Amino acid sequence: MTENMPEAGEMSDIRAGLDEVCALLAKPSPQALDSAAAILSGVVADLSAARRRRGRHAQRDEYRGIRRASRLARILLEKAAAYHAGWNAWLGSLTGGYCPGGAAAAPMARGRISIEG
Amino acid sequence: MGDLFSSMLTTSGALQAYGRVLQVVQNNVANSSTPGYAKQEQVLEAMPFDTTGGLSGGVQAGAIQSARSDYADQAVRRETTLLGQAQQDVNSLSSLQTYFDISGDTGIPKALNDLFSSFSDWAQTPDDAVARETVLQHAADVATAFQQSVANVAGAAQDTETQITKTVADINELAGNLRDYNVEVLSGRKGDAGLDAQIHSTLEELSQYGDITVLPQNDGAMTVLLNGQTPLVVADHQYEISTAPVVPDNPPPTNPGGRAAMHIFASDGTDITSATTGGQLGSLLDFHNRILASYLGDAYQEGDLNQLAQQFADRVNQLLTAGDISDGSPGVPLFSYDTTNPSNVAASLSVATGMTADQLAAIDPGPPYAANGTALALSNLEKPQSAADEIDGQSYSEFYGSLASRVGDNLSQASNQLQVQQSAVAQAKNLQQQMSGVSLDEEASLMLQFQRSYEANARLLTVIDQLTEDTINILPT
Repeated sequence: MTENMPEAGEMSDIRAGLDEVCALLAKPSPQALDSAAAILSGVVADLSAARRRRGRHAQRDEYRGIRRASRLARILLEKAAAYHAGWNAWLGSLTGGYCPGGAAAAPMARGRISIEG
Repeated sequence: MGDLFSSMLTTSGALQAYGRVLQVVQNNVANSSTPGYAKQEQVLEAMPFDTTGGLSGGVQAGAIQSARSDYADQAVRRETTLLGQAQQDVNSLSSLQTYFDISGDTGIPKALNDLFSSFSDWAQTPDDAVARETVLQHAADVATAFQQSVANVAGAAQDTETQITKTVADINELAGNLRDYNVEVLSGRKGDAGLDAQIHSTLEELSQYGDITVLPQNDGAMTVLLNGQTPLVVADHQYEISTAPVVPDNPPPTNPGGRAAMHIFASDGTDITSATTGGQLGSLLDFHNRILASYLGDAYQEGDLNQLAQQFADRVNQLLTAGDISDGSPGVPLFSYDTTNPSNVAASLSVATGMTADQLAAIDPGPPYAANGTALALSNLEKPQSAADEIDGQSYSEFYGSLASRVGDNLSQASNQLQVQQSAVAQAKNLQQQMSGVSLDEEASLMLQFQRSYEANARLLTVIDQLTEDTINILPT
């Protein structure tokens, strides 16, 4: 390994970060999404730095693992986003009906409202 | 006194209401692991309060609301359909991969390598009887390898047909269960939490087999569609689907002797095969009608194994018949196969009947004449030097390698997709759980909250009872 190649530990950290993001995205509560976003930002920064130093044959297995994990994270994020967008549209159609173009209206109230008393 | 009795009634009513809440909470806890169960909540309604009108307020138990989210359920079913498809893809391709050895140690690649090697040895000693016998033996091995490979893949096709039939039967059975549940709902069990759990558990199970759409009706019954348009269950009616092998006639088959494709039919006989792409059933159909057909052939293609067998046999025969045997007579073909059905070439490939080692034509009459010219040309098939020795721009061994690697690539993609889909289903179920699942913590806190209220009310009732009794006792007799 040459000096400009990323350290094995660095790659493992990136992979571990992505795995953690995937685990959080599998349970996409608002808190989990917040945590995932923070970790993902760190992973992206580390990955950018690692890519700049990447050698031609450096740690192929690690790169493959990272590619698989990042693909999974992307798909989970897309599915979570699609779910929440769809849920929002469903809620919008229930509370505000449909726009002239056929799309669901914006939800009348985005948050959960709790009334006591 | 009127006020006291009124207070007693109010408190008693509240106790009944809280009792109902406790029942609902206990029901939620007991069913926290029941497949398909959605949390229920007891709505408490405020009673009118007007002392002048004798209305003492308090609470009464209202309707029981289910926390089920059709949207979350639908998301789980959609992801489950994709998971069923990915799982089936992996299962099917894993079994197919075992029939395509790319190590060169067994099957067609080994047989081809051995034959090329024997051609090469024969080219060194064209008149050697042992070398000729070896060529003949390895030619027979190539034919056997093709027959065996086709038999293996055809066996996989047969297994897949059995699985398609079973999957269709499973879909019909689950649809039958849903029809029975609809009958129960329509006969007055609408809102029954246990029945609701059974319905949604069955719908989830059904979704792994195919792409289903569920339309809840106002009367509580579920309309279930396959592929978004084919009815499986409507109210108390079930519409069974069926499967059968079909050789299509439109467009007209270019290979009429090809294998039949498996088709799916709606209850009215409509062919819904092309729309059936999701779940295990969609995967099995794709595997049988597209992937296996690409190897074995169908009504519109001969199949890659047959193409390889035919082009290889034809080229070997062409070279041999252009050559001469040592006595000066023309060479004879080495291989024979069923020429009437392009999809049956590999299965029928054999060494020509009556072929003997001394009939192998080693001589290229030229010009220029070469005593081992034909044998040399045959040995060159291993590393083609002209387009005539190639198939789709590849050597015969490379072409076989591309067939095998195609299975490997498909399996690799399917395995990755399976991993993604397992996570996606877990994600959808977590989202569903957040909306309609039973949280034991939440139920425990609710239970505690209502138990305290219940105890408080019970104490209040005791106090009021005591007070009433005392009041009665102090009344003048």
